[in-house]
Amino acid sequence: MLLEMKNVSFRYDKKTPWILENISFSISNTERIGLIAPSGFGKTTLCKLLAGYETPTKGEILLDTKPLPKKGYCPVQMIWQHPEMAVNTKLPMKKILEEGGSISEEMIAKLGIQRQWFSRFAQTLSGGELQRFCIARALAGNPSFLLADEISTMLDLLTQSQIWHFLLEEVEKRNIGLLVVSHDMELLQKVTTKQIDLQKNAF
Amino acid sequence: MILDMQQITISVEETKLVEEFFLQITAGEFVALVGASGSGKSILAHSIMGIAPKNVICHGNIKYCGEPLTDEKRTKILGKEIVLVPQNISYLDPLMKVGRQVAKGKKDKVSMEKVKKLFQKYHMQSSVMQRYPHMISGGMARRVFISSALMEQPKLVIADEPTPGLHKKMAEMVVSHFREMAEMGAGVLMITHDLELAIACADKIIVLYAGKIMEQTKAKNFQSEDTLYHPYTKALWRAMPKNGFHNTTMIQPSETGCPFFEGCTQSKKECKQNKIPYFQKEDSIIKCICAGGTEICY
Repeated sequence: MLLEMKNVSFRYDKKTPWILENISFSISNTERIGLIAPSGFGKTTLCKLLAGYETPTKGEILLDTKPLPKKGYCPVQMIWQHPEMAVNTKLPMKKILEEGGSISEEMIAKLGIQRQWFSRFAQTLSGGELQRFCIARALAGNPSFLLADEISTMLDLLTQSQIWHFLLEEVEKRNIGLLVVSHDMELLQKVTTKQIDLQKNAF
Repeated sequence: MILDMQQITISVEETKLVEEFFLQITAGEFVALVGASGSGKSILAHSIMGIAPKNVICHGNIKYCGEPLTDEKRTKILGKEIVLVPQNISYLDPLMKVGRQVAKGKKDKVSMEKVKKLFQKYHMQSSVMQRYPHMISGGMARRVFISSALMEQPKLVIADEPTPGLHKKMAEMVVSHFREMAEMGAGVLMITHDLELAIACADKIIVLYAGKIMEQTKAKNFQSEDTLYHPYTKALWRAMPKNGFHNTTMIQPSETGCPFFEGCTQSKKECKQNKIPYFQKEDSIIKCICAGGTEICY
């Protein structure tokens, strides 16, 4: 599987400046790539484009030479920086988990998700607890690619290390390509095999 | 001693959020309170300020400059001698220009001049004063909060998670402003989950886990695992990407005895059953019966 970004430029409308300009880049489902760039550079926008949440103004996004599916399950799944903004606050956590499909008991245990959290609502869980649900949800289907946009900034060191070890094991086992966005170079060096600096235009 | 807290318990109804907490801050001292999300950090800050929700009950002794910190005293000094640097932009009034908010509603020349100077100091153009909160970036919002704190001469600055979402350089810059305040003689309490940042800037670090202090130690002791004594602190140290990115199994804090019982490799029967006292060893205070040192009462 190959996820490609071909000469992509993006802006929200004609009056606003370009956020991304002419970016080409590809990742295979056996790769783990780290993406680094200063705040406001468009890292999240890039992830949103790759996952199909936004459509490129110019250029195209291809998954195995075909455009991303417009309907149904998208094999490119994104995990967001702010889990509290990525869940429906009117639904109990169990329903949120089910949004992604069925989830194995093993995964729930490995992510340290407690059964007693299932009946609770997002507002009553901490950021770290919510992020585990979001990760489980993203892995529930059968993704070929996972985009992790600053997913561990709200976590303490122990939880950060636990969640990353779990994710690395999972992507390895299931042949999922991983794109990691982070400010933390030391972390990127641990979890990815290649790091790309957007600012240096290494694309 | 600017702030002296002893035997603090914070609870909501039957649930105890923070137990047996203590904290001392002297003038010019920079203390970092480090803990996982949900370990009770913010509620502590809000309890000191007296702005926690009404169903949150705080027991224990809080002394400010030698006198008990009562609600009466709080109304006189909050925002003047004790200032809070809040977490995010939602603490600003969305319908008031930021310049006015920093000036605390005052319109006189002296105040406006002061705001202007503070904005300059923190590299914001005076035009930023005319903006509304939604028109400033996250990094700017932090500097607006800091400017606001410095309108008076605070003796105690409490910063609640001042850095998440900022890139490393910006985070270091924000923290350097707190360092500056400490150097001007204020006591600074920074609440954070970012241990690395705390190590880089604080004098003293308090590690909180499940509402209890696991270890209080000098920041410099984090340079090596050997000078840390609590198994939880050691585990944190080893989990840093630069120190090996060590993996552990996910555990839930134990409700009786030591909360880190399940995650500790050297735990004994007593760790689960007993109330664990504090021990002093060199500069550190540790809540662990295996760490050695002399038992102390807090």
